[in-house]
Amino acid sequence: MKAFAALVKLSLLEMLNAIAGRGSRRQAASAGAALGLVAFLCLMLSFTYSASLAMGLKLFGALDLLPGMMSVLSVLMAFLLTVFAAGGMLFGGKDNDIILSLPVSDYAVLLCRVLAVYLENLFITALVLLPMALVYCFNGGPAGAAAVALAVPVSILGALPPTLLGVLVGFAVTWLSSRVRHSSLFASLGYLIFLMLILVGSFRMGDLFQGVGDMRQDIDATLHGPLFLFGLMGDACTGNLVSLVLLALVCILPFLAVTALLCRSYRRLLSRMNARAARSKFRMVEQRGGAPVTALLKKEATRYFGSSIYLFNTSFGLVMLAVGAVAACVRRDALLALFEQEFGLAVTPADCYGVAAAAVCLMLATVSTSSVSISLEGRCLWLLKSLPLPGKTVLYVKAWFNVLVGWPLTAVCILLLQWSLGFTALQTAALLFASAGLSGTVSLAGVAINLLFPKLDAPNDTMVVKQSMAAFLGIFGGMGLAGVGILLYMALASLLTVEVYLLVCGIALAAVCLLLAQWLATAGERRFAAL
Amino acid sequence: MLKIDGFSKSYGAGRYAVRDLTLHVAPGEIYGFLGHNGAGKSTTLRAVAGVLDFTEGEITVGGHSIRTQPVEAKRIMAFLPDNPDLYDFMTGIRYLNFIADVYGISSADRTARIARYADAFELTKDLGGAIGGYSHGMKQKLALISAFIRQPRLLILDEPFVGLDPAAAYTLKTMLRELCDEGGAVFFSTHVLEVAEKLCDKLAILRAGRLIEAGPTAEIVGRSNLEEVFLQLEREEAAQ
Repeated sequence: MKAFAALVKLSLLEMLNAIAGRGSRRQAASAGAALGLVAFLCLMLSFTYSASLAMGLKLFGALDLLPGMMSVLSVLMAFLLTVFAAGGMLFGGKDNDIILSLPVSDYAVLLCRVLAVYLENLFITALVLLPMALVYCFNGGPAGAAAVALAVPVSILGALPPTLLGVLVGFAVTWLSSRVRHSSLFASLGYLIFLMLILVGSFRMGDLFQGVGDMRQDIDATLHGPLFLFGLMGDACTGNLVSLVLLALVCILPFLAVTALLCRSYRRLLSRMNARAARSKFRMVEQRGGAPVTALLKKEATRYFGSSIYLFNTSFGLVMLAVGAVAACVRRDALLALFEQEFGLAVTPADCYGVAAAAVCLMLATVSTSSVSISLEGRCLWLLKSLPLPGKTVLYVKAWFNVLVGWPLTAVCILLLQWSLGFTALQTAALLFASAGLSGTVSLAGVAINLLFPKLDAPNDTMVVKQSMAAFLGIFGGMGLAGVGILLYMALASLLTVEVYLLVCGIALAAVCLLLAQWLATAGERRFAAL
Repeated sequence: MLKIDGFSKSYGAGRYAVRDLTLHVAPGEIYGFLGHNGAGKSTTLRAVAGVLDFTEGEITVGGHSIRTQPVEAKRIMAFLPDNPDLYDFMTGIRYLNFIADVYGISSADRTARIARYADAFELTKDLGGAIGGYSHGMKQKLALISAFIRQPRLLILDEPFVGLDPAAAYTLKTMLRELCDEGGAVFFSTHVLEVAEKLCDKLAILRAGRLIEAGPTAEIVGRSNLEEVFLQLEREEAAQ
């Protein structure tokens, strides 16, 4: 038990370290403050969403469906945001040799690794359910203030199923990739297929929840039938203690049982992965040369495409954007009908330009490979620093790679949207220009953020990509920038058309890019040298 | 080839890892750098390689200051840290090509050099595998190959013999001597005193960040052996 407690403490310290870093107290305080701000903003967003959903449900006398529906959202969000991390956290630890040589059971080791995934899921479920409970209470839900108190154990229990699912997916993908040659490619494909299935399932569930007034009984039946887990979560929040006990049983027992089963193959799977030694029989052939900058870009690309957690976590927005653009092409009329239903306005395709532009910018702003690029160098940083290249070249290449990942596909999506929704040439050009400026800004800012909040000693890459301060700031900062742009337009809507506003934004962002590039070449280069 | 003048590295609050170090490595010399754990050897080597920032003293490589002309200085040298971490996600050959690209080595030259050094270290057949699957010794060999293909004028090595099998260690010694015979220089740290005594033309011994002895190996060792001299020096310094 003591050994297990020591491992748990180690896991928690690693996570804290990932966020706060090992810099000065001031830096840790800044990191904590930034994290607090992000958490506060997420809580406000969650509160607002719950409140608007509650308003709609009350109209149909269906407020009691709120806890169940938000439970679905909380678990789904938790799963989507951590499914890519689970494999890396379980199998990607650089301290595996040390930990596995200790006199602790494989089960204890596995549980400790899973703890990091669980805590992230707990954060997300609590972020959704606690504001929901407050809204439920304010709207006169039967449980009253007790709903808020009950949301705490429900969040704690509700974080277990997505954790278990993530662990299962992580094991499955790792098992598969340990048996094939191009393991990283298979892992990425596996995750992509899974993501598609989840997205399709989410849209289907969204369809189910659409016509609440007409389908109230169907929704209720679903929440207490096939989706009984969410029904239990919802009922527990409303004060049903029997549901709370059942929820505990349904969440805890399978979790413990499945992890106990999986731990039997944990060490074997780890060994198999590490034993993928140089089994190749390489024969020397003529080697082709390239330029230094191309070599650096290729290195970035190899790392990016070789790590599914890096690929998906930093480019999730791109996947959503691509799905949205394709959906706009193949299901345009259905989407317009949905838009009309949500906003109560009859819209033509051309009316959607503003919303489409906002969606493109929001999704693109989350593409932030550069914000973790330096941290991912980790103990290999000496390599980059010993090369006969100016530090600013190394930094610029990292930003440039981010642009190459994000903008070309965004441009294709914009053209698809143009074809589907009938944008004018000016509208298309304005969106292309503004998105290019946004991509450049996010990319350069990402490098700057990573220089200010480096995390070079993470035990695994997953922690860098998902839990480091630079990763948080990169993704949420980008979203914040896009959000500010959207809010600013809403204030200026009577003065400017969307396309003119986008052109102005593009010019402003280009200026910001120049300033950031200058900073990277001066203070940034000095910081890099000091790492 | 290498001039270290008055180099000091502190980590704040008056704590010095290296204090006022001065030594010169001439072309054609293999210069051994010895000292106890935590003496400041790695700090010095990293500063010479331009990997570690410093503000006191000056380090020049082939006439180029590592502080004001880092790119020019790095172009003519190769550095290997202790237990080098390489890109696990690359294959061996891809890593070598990466280094060759950065150093601007032509296709023909890199093909010939990679073939030569990979054969010498018996790593050719493993170059197609991911570095993540290499043993420590294989990684060390790959790192050494990546250093030699650059044909550096100055080779900076931190504990290069650790993890090498006897054949590879012999190959490395031969190559170091060849490099120096062709006008290059080697500056390396080691704890293996027998290797230092047999291989090095000159030695420098560091203790608690300060240079306590430096000069030709034969003069330092005298009629004794390096191990005795080293331990004696350590005792004398500790007594002071």
